[in-house]
Amino acid sequence: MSNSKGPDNAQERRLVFERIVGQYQLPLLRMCYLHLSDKSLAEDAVQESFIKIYRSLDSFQGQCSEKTWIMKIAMNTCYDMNRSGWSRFVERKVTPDMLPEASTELEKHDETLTLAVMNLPRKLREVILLYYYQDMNTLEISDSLGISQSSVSGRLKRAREKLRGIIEGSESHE
Amino acid sequence: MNEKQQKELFCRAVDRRLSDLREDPWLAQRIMNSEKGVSSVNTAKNKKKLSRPLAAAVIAIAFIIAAGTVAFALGHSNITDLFTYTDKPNDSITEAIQIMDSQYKGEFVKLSVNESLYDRLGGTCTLGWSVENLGENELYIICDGIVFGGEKAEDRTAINMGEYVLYGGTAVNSATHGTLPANADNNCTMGFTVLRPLAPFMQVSKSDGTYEAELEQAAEIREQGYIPLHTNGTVITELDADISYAESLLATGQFELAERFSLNFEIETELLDESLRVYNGAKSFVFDDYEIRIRSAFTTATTAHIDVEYITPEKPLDGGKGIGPMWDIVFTTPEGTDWTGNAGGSFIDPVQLDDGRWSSVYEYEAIQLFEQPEVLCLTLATYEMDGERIVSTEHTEDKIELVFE
Repeated sequence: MSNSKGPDNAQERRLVFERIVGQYQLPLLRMCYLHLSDKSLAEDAVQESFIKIYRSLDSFQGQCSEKTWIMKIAMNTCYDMNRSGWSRFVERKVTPDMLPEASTELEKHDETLTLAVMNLPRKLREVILLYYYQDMNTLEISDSLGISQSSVSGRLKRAREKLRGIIEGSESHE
Repeated sequence: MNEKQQKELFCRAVDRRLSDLREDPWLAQRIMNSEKGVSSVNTAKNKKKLSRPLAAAVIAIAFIIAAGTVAFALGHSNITDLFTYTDKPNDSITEAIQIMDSQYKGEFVKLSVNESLYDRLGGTCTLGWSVENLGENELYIICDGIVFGGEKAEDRTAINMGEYVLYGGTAVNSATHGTLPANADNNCTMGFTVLRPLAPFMQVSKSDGTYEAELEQAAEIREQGYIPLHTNGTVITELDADISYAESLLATGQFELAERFSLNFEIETELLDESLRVYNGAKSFVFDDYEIRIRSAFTTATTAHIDVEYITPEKPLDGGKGIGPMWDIVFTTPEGTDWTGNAGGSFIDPVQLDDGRWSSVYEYEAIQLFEQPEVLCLTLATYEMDGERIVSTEHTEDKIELVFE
């Protein structure tokens, strides 16, 4: 369905939705977790995002790429989650013991980078995640976040400064 | 290192560190089913979020909030409502509710924790309380959190723990149900912040449903001298990660702090112990090409915990990433009633037995029962891929009945 209009009938709708969930669920879950710092909240955000996506499949007309559209919905859902409920009571500073167990072998740098991203201010974090983790360009990010491309570039620059040496530091662990 | 390499390394690091976060292979199906038959998967009674998570970790604490702003009615029990699916009252719950009398009375509000339901053996707790505005002017009430035995609530299965506007001279009832943290004791602390609005409220209509549009509209409303209120009762404000929501609202200059308080009380923990019902029947059920073993099974007034072992000659199919095990156990009452509002389980990876067969375990848990069934029926469901679709087969001819005593 990328860059095309929404599905025409129920069968196609179902297939498209199943594909979207299969394709985007895991990256969305991890991205929502990085935003919300809470596994259950992230799961709720992903579920809520896909409900919105399912309901608006018919109205998606390909004004932007499918990925941009999905990320926009997911980011908005994370904002909503942040505004409600328990999220306000969770400690804001994320520490290593707050992360879930890893089920694969880790490099020390993996945790350093993950924590550094999670502890970025929201506006910087969302840009960094869309750029590096979702592999979106600044135009797509500006569409997703509803801000100008220059704002995206500015935030990206500030975020990189805050993460200076951490992103690049991966190299030495490879 | 170029940008592309940086992105790849970034993704690899995050994916490795968050490798424990797994997909829910049934999410698409559940959403489509829900959209077909149920108006919302987010309401406390309809939500079945835990229907098939693969992760082995079980809940630390989970809360389902009911009716954050329902009208106050003397004698009305929101706890009873939480455990009632139809008009038929859940008598065993109603009878076990502990009447509480823990109160805070300040200058602006009176808060009374008036009922609780602590299921020690099932591992859940439910609280009911009311908040009364003692003055004539409206207040904005924020629940800052609930702590059991020193452990903060960090995980939940539902939202709607809404803050809300409480008009002068009025009161609201609230209730929350969740699973207890591992080291919970009978000591509970609830925290609240009460804000006094310095401007009237105005609802935000969210023209195109986006956060940006909402924020934009909220800014316009603020400029006009009103407080922008979301339809869900939340005051819209740009969040600052470094301060609490209450502090963000105070920073708008549209609120002032009325009072902030916490209420500490103890709950009787053994009132539901007698509701424990254990399955002591046959442990093994052999069918043509598989065997079901019941490793353990018990229910309480609010929960059901059943560990089932599925034994097959061959290693059971696994759909792999995004799909998971191609089998499941369906739990129903003999009458087919809606007996639980929140249930799910964990699949343990199959292991080969000494006789060459394969054993797979499903640990099932329901935490919000509309009725405590005396009999539960277990049916194996298996799945096949039809292209990209999952097709299920319920082996209804092999139904197993568990009678709890």
